[in-house]
Amino acid sequence: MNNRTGILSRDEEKDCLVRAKQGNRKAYGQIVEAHRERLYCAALGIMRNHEDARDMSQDAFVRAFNSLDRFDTDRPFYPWIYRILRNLCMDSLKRHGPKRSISLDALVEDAGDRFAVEDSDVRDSLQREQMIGHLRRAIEELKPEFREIVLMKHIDGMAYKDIAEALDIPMGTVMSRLFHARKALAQLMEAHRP
Amino acid sequence: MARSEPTPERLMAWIDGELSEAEAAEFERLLEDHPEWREEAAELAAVAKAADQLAFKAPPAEVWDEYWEEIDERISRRTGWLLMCLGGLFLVIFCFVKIFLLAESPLIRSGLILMVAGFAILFLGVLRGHLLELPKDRYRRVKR
Repeated sequence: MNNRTGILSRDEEKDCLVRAKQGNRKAYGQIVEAHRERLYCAALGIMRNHEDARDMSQDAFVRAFNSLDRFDTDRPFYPWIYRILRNLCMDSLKRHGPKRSISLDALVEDAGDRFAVEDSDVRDSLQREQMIGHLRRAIEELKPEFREIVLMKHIDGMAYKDIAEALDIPMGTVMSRLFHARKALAQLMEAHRP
Repeated sequence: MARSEPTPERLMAWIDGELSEAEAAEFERLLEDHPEWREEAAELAAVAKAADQLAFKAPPAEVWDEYWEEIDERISRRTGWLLMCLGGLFLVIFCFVKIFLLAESPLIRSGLILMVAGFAILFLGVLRGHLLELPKDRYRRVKR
């Protein structure tokens, strides 16, 4: 895993957080800038609509700023704010239910496509497209806690220890949940195959 | 020395490269002895590899219009609300104490005591509900 978070290195992030803790909003602005896209996408993965994703991610940044005195700046910021965001989203979904929903197809893209533009084998490319389609549909059909961990691991790219911290569960639970999620994914993909 | 069985947790750590070199080599030796796990490992590694190809689409640029400015404003507003609520709370407590001390009628005093007791019961009820909810699955009441 690299040592950079968005546009800040770990040391720069820590420095900004220490200054933000002392009330420096400009320093906190740099933290927001570094994490906003990732947090917005995470919110979109849970809320499934752009307005709520924007609102929830902004609210998470506000809550995080107001609770910075309780945050240990030696720890990475993203898992902590992810946990704040997740709690906010869950509370909102419990209170208001899901609003206008965007499918996973519209949120997620095949990142491999960007690097495979010179792939001349059309049949391979079609097969790959089909497989990614099955995969997206399978992720959509997973139980919410399985879908969440798959999105965190594969699409958000979080490490085990960050997932454990964000979900407030032991590392062993992360691994076993991921095992069951992947097994369920494999079964669903098999079921979708013609 | 008899080798242990592979476990789902170690299998995941192996697939995701979270084992040290020595641990990974040891796990691969374990897989050689357990063909059923070898098959499972191949299937789940393929799923993981495919899922690693997915990424969130970049949000539209207009999402970031005024994004930080709104956060900054909300932080200021929150401080304003907090100060106002604290001030209001002090005033309410002051009024209650004053009325309680000045009121000669036992009816008014009883009314005030009942109101405070009712508020305390409601507050504790809400607090208890939140505390009981904490360790549970947060997805429980979320509609799919």
